[in-house]
Amino acid sequence: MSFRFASVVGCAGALVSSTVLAQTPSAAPAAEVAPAVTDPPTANATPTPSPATPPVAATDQAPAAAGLPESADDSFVSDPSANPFVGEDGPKLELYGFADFSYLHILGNKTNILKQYVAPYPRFYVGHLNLYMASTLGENWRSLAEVRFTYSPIGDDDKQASDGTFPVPDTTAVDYAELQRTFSWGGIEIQRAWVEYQPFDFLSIRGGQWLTPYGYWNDDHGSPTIIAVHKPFPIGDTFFPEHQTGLVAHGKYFIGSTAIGYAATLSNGRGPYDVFKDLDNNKAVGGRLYLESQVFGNLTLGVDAYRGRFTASTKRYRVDTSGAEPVAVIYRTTDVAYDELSLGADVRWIYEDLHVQGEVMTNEARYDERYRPRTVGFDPKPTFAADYRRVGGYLLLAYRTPFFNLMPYVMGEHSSYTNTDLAPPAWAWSAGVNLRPRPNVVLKAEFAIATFDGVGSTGLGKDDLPYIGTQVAWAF
Amino acid sequence: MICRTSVRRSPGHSEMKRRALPLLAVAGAVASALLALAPRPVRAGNDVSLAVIVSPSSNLTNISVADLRRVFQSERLTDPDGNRLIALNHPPKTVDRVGFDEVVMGMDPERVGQFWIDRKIRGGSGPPRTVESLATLRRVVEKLPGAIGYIRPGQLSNEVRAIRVDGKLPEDPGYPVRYKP
Repeated sequence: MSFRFASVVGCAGALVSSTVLAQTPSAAPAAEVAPAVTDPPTANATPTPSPATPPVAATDQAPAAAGLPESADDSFVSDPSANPFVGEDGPKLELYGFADFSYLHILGNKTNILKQYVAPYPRFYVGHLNLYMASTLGENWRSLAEVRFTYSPIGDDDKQASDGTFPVPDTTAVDYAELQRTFSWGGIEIQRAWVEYQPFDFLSIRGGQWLTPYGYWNDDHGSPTIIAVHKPFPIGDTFFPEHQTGLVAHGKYFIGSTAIGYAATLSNGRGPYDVFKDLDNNKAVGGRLYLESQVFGNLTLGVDAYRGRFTASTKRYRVDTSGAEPVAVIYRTTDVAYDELSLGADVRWIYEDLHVQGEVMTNEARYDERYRPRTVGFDPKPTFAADYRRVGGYLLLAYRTPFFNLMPYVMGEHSSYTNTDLAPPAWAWSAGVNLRPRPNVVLKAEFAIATFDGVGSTGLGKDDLPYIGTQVAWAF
Repeated sequence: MICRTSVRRSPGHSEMKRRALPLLAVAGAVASALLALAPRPVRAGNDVSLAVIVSPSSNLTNISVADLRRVFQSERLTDPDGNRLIALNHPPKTVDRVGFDEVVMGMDPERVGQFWIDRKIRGGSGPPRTVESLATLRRVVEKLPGAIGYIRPGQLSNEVRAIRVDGKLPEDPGYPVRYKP
């Protein structure tokens, strides 16, 4: 879908051009003489002087031909306070998105527990089908919503039952349009939905659900933009929340070719339903501070922080009969509560075709002693979850060659998994290629191997985990 | 006898040759494609300056290349009149657009395409509006407060005014918005 001119500028510009052209039907200023080039020729063509009369887009002449009234002056379009978005001239909705199709083949023997758990057999799958809905609501106002369509929950065999199975939810339904044949319904995940107001060059205020501003990977977000096939462990393990609901103020202040950027967040924080409900009074706060320099390539250095309280509780009711009349009482009992702090630092350096990117981060949690949960595992002894501090990071090196925009890359990553006794600390090493035959199509192939420092309570980590992943991602 | 022996082929020789020829053809095609795609030297020619234009009524008289890049990357920048600068671009892959992108944005057309796709997937704002004709560009720049564009100096008219870039006008030596066509 072509980019729309979804702003005040667009409407005003179109109106200006149409009005002006309506006022000068000939649309050929007398001053236009060769060799003044009119419309620039295409890059493939030899630049030659154009005819003296500049060609004007047919759309520019349409208003005059349509008999639109000619304005005596242009005040109605040149007045910046005018609101052109009324009635049928409302904000334009821009639809675009991305998708990816992948092939995953986990190597290793059949007894590898992680292989059995994740993908015992090689598989094809469509991983993302994300649709963006963007609109410029008016001068300095903008909105964006992104939804991901997914086949889940069908095939969700991640939760074990007490009978030794991993039951799968049944999502089959009768297709009422197809004579009792069945189909499986999928799901929709709202990835973000926000409205933004930019009162100053250096300040934008965004409200809604947004991606947490930290590092680069979470901001890159979409598979066509991300270089590798898979997310690094600490990103996927959400040391920082992937997205939050609340307010974020962000902006950049420029000093020459160097920019100082910031983001400050206030949100529900993490919780079972944090996208729309907070189960405690403690709002989460966070921020990002970064420096962008274009003195020697494009160098960005940043630091990130997030602090919040996780609370999970159960809604209950009882009937209070202590008074004269029985009264229903609604209350909640807290199941789990902990305070968490995440800190991160990141660097990205793009020098011509070289791309270096790395992030390190830590996430620590301290449980409220009253609401410390029991651990989940194979250990029959009753134990409680311990406070933890996770440490992780990744470093990606890539180089874009001139041949088909081929970009070989290598990546190393680590995650400590101290929040669970199921998984030992892990390292992963990847090597792959990223091919961008068109700006909106990306082909990727990589080999990766994950190694573990020990063995988790379920045997995870006993074997290395090598795999081959390929992906085609495209923006539309 | 020696001669006959030397020209006699082993039974598998013709088979090998038959298999090798398509491989050689494929290898040749790949090599040709790689050569065709290899970066080519820039053609020699006179530099083309691009005048950065605003409305004659604007109080903007100078802009840095860094700020020009920001404006054409759809970042918000306000002019001395308090108007948000509104970049108006030439259509993609036109000569002056390619030259402008190279010297101001630091990107070739392919990278420009990637830049905007990546920006939009990240959730950022889209590219500046492109204007299909020179006449429209000049008129919109003249009439729309905050509009900023670029044209060749020979295309200037009294509808628009060229401003300095890093303190220099297009005719000055060292003018930064200048490319080799």
